[in-house]
Amino acid sequence: MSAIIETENLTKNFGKFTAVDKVSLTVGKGEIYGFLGLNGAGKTTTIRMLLGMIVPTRGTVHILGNSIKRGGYGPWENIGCLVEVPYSYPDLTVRENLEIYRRLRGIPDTDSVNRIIDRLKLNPYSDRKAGHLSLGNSQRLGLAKALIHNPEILILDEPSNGLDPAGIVEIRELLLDLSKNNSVAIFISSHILAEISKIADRIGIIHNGKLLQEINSSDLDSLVKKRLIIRTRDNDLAMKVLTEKGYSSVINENGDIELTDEKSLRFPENISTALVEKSVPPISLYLDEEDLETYFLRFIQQNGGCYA
Amino acid sequence: MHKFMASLYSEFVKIRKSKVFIATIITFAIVPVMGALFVIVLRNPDLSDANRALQAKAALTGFSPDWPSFLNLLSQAVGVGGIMVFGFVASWVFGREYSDRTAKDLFVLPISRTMIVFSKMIAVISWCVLLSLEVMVLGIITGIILQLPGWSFQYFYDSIGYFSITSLLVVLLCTPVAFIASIGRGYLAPLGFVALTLVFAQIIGALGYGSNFPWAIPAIYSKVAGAGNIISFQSYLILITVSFLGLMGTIYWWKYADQTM
Repeated sequence: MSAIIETENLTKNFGKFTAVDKVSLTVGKGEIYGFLGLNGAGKTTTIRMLLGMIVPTRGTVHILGNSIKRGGYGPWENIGCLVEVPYSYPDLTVRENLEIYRRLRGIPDTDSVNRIIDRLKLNPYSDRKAGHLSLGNSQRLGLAKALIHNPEILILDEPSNGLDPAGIVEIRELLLDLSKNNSVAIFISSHILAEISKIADRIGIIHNGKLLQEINSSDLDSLVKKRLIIRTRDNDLAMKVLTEKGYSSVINENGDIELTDEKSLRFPENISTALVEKSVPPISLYLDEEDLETYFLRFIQQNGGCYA
Repeated sequence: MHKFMASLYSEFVKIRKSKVFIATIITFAIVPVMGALFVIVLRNPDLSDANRALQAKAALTGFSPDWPSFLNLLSQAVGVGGIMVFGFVASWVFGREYSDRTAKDLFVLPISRTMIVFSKMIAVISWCVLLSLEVMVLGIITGIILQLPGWSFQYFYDSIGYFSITSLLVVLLCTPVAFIASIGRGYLAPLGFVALTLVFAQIIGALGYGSNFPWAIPAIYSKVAGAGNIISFQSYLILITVSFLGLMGTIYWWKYADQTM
């Protein structure tokens, strides 16, 4: 997959503070890259460097083969973006805002404004001043500005902010459609792993400015912590039985028996049978799977992070 | 050229749709009204005691109820009031992009940032020219209604010349305001800067060095302090240099500075 977005050792210092530290990543055509990090991790600074708004202290950014340089002219006609909370000219209506961007982007087709209004379901608000829109509809208008010119690349900073659950699903489907059917490369930042995991092909976790891990979404399942939790009327006897059968178990913080070895996780029915045979049948037995948020926070903590 | 026209179009739409535009039109309409008030008060010295202050003020500025005085008053109003109102215009055109947090969208357009700065500067100039024309046209209409004496075409042409050059000098001083609005990322810093320049113009002018202080030069040119304080070639040079530096600073900022707003 050829790289559409490529950064190499991208670093930004603000005085003595390193906001982004040697971040190297690539995003291919039609790929959705989820950029995950807590607030202040360096997501927005990275995005601003991708967009030429901030000059890197060190390192390079290449988009569509063009080097993004200080004060330079980037391939902006092929990029749609949304940086942090989208704002529009408050005295102008939704339609007038989009008309301005149509002209500024040099789109000759005057109907493109109507099409993007339809696509983002902004019809009921098209003649409303942008200053009077709800946060969710402001977000839609921001996305409309990012998409009006059918860009090859989308760089989106927390695009689900302010959207209601239906809106989140709708935008997710829109982005998946753009990626799969129009081969749009999408770089999307968020602090919500569960949301990112639903659309991203690859996820990069940034913390304290460092890119700590890159994961393929398909591998996420193998990374999350799983454990078999068993409760019986006599946990001491049950543990003795399990030890005799060659299982390694511990009593967890809730007083339940916990097993994490592969054999237990794959064949919990064998454990149940063994306990029943020794007259300590389980009251409950279930596979507890760490959710993605817990994995993310555990991973950050393991890497010296603090999220409290 | 097409991109530049698109950029210019967007600036004009933003101005036309703003409440600030109407506010400046109303504010500058006060100038001829004030002139008319001076004329009425001077013509009717026995109107009331409350008018004595206005009569004293008119006498102090050497104002008399005739065309030469009235046209001169318009130039002086632009020379002093223009610093504030035109400064406000420049503050708004540049500062609002930061206050409304829309600047970030302008940096990722397929239009050079220099072109965006130039379109904004042209928008500021156009707005200020419109305000100047408003003052002159309303001033002439007011003078005709008041049937001012002392009309002469020669004096009228001279006054138009003074008025236009005063306006131009004030407009040139918008570029440092645009620069302050950009680095200050909003309206507050440039408005504070404009207020400071007015204070310093008064102090430096009173000390007799006004012809070397850019923000005092337009007022001195408009003979606000009488005919004795004439500006020199050096004054023009100082003002143009400050204006040029303001423009270059603004372009440099938009092009090269980290945009972290």
